[in-house]
Amino acid sequence: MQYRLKMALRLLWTLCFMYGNFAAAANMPPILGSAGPLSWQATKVSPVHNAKQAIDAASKLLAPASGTLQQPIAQLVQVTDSTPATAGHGAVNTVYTAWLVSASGFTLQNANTKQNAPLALSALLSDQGASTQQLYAVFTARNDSLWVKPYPGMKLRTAAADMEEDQWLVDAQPMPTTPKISIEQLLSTFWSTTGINPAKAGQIALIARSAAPQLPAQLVQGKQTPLYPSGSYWIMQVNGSKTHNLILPMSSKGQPRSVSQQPYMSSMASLIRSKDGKVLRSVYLP
Amino acid sequence: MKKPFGLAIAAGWLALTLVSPSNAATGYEAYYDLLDNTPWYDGVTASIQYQATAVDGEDLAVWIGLDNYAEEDADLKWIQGGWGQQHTGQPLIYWEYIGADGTYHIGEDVTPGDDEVYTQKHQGNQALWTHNGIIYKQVDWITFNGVAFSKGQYGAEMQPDTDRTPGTVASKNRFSSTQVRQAGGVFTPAPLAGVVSNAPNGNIEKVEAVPGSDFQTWDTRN
Repeated sequence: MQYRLKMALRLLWTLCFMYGNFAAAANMPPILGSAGPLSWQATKVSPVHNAKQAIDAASKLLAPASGTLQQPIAQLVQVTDSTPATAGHGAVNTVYTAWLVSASGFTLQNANTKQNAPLALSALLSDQGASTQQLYAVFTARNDSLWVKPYPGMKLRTAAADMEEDQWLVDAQPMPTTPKISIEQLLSTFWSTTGINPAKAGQIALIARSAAPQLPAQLVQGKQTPLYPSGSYWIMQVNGSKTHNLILPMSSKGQPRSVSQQPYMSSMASLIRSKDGKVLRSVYLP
Repeated sequence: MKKPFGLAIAAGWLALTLVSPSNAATGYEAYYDLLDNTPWYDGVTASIQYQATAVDGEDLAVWIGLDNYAEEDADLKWIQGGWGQQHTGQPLIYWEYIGADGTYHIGEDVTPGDDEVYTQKHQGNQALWTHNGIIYKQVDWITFNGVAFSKGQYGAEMQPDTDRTPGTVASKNRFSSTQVRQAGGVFTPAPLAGVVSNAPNGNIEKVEAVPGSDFQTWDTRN
């Protein structure tokens, strides 16, 4: 009898727990979009800045070469940033309010080929008490028609895990910033350096971060000393794209391998210097 | 035993073989050396004079590295570094490895200088990748625990093989002072005992004036 009572209470508790979770989920606004570690939902909080101010600020921060944003749209959102700390501090799932401004009319150019690529971009702008708004992140919409799935059977890893493996020491705290060069210049430099066209990627996300890259380094009086200072960087993430071919050394069988059958990586992360957009390091992910 | 990369090869190649008609292969213009017993290699180094090369295909790499010369692709483990370039991109110094657990890692640094000494070696409890003395990658050596690095390879790799091998007739792509090290030993000139040359327009030759470890590559069309 006591056993049955215990089981009944346990069942009741489970049902209550499930109902509570369901009710909480039902009250949460739906996820409107995501880019890299960022996702966002609608919010009803009162903004500090209005939509027009947000669009004006985005125009200055994104600074398109054409001079103005085309067909800009602004929406206040609640952002969840799921970047884990690799610097030993900061939190997982940081939540903040931001203005999401989307616009077209951007053009990238590859300096090697002189090829141009039109692009639409979205930006997350801070909405805090200060009068000047800054950028948290810039990204493209997920392009399902170009999306490249991961190579079949390859075990997936997070960008954060590989950034940690490569000792970037990225702080998880969002760090709104004012770009020192235009976003078009920055993305064009990325394309020219890596050969990966942001306009043809499944999705890109450029996120302002504080980092303390430990590599490359040189030995100074026997001590390993990083070449780059800790401070403000951009972290570029590319997802859903064939970013790198995995080319194996010869096996002892020595049989030729078809290029089309080579495994590939389908995403990447790059550490970009804020002051000039130079791509300092990249890691490629399955 | 965990074998994510092996599974990837098996599943992926099967899937793609069924849908892909292309037969273009990877091209190599490279020398290699083999060991048939311990102590296995734990270091490799060479100076590579950078030669600008148009990448018409997908990508190109000029590298030195160690691997376990496994029979099956899924069992290959390796350490590799040098410079590489993707189509429409710039040349970039890169590092690459597959450790004992079969997990593949690759990343890039900055553009190479005109003459870079690339080294990969076991030092202390680390595997280090350096170029001109700058440490640009390091991982715990235990990552390669149990891996028998029985082969050293040095040269160019074109994807596909019809792409251009670095170097011109007038200015060849030069590897100098190519050396390998066996565990517990010192770096010694690589014998360059084996050669693989399968790029249709690629060429490779030893520099006879320099005994031992210097060689160069070039493309007949460059």
